[in-house]
Amino acid sequence: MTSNWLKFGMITLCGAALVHWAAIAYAPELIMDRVLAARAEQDSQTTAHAERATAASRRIVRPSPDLLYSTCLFDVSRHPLKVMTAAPTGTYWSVAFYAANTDNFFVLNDTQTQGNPATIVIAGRGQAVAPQGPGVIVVSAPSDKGLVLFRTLINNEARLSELDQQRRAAKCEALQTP
Amino acid sequence: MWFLLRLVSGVTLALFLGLSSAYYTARNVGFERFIVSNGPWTTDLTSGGVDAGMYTRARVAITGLLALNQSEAIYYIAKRDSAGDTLDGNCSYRIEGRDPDARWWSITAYANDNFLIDTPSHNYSVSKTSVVRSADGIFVVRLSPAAEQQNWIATSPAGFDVMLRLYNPGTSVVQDPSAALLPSITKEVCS
Repeated sequence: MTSNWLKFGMITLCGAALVHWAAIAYAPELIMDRVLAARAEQDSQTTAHAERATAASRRIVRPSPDLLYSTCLFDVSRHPLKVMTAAPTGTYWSVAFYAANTDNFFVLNDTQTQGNPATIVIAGRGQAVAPQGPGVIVVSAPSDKGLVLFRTLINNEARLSELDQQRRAAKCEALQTP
Repeated sequence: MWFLLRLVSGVTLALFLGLSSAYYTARNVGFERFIVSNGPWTTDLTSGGVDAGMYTRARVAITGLLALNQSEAIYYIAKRDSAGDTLDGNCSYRIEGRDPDARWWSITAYANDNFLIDTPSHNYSVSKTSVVRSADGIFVVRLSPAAEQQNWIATSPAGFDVMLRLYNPGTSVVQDPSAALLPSITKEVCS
């Protein structure tokens, strides 16, 4: 009888360890997948410019109320994606790429571009990209799907409307492969 | 019948133990060697980066999705004050220090659900460009549920923690985040 209970306990603990490992290993992709799906419901083809974060902003955890966020989705399974940043003046801005497992695999900010707008091409693994103009950066994505996130710092409340307008120049478009 | 009962209870127990321990460890426990402390603040050096381990990725997905990698930003979180006591939503706190070495910084309070705290005044954060400093460059920020005159971040009686963001941190901070000069958090009054 004791042996049966011991066996039951051991099997249950092994099962719990397996569930623990699977939850930790797959949670990032599941959570990211939900975020990408929710974003795709809005409009997967265009750049979305979120309102400034408040307590009512419940889509992404720990938003910064001091930043303006813009996003577009990427799916480079068929075509690379051309990302053109805006260049809000006199403040910090950046563009960051996130893989399906939540990794931030690329980031570029205004200091690195001397305040100029930048063009970056996200390519799938092994995808050929036609020669681009000077200064265009080509980045290989570790996953077919992911998210592009533009950040613009509100460094002066009086400039909120101006910065909001400037950041809307950011856009993403599919690039035809050669 | 007895076998079926044991099977169902075993699977249920395994699911409960596995999922709850995964959630708890991902949310609260720093198993990995990349977590460093600096006074009341802690940060994960691989947060958001491609070198992140599975526990870091899970923690970031639950508590800080879409974090930037360390070269761009460092995120410190304080769940305790400088005396080591858990931050209490019924108490007020004083955050005191000088500007951390970064191009821009901000301090933001979050509710237990990891979202901004619902406050009509929208006093969610204080930053390098909004903080009021004394003549010697020191700032005092107050965390409390009740409004303060300046440098006030609203908190929730239900509980909260605080995040310090450093955008484009200085080289010395990147090299040794545990030695960076960061503000202290001191408990003042509890109701």
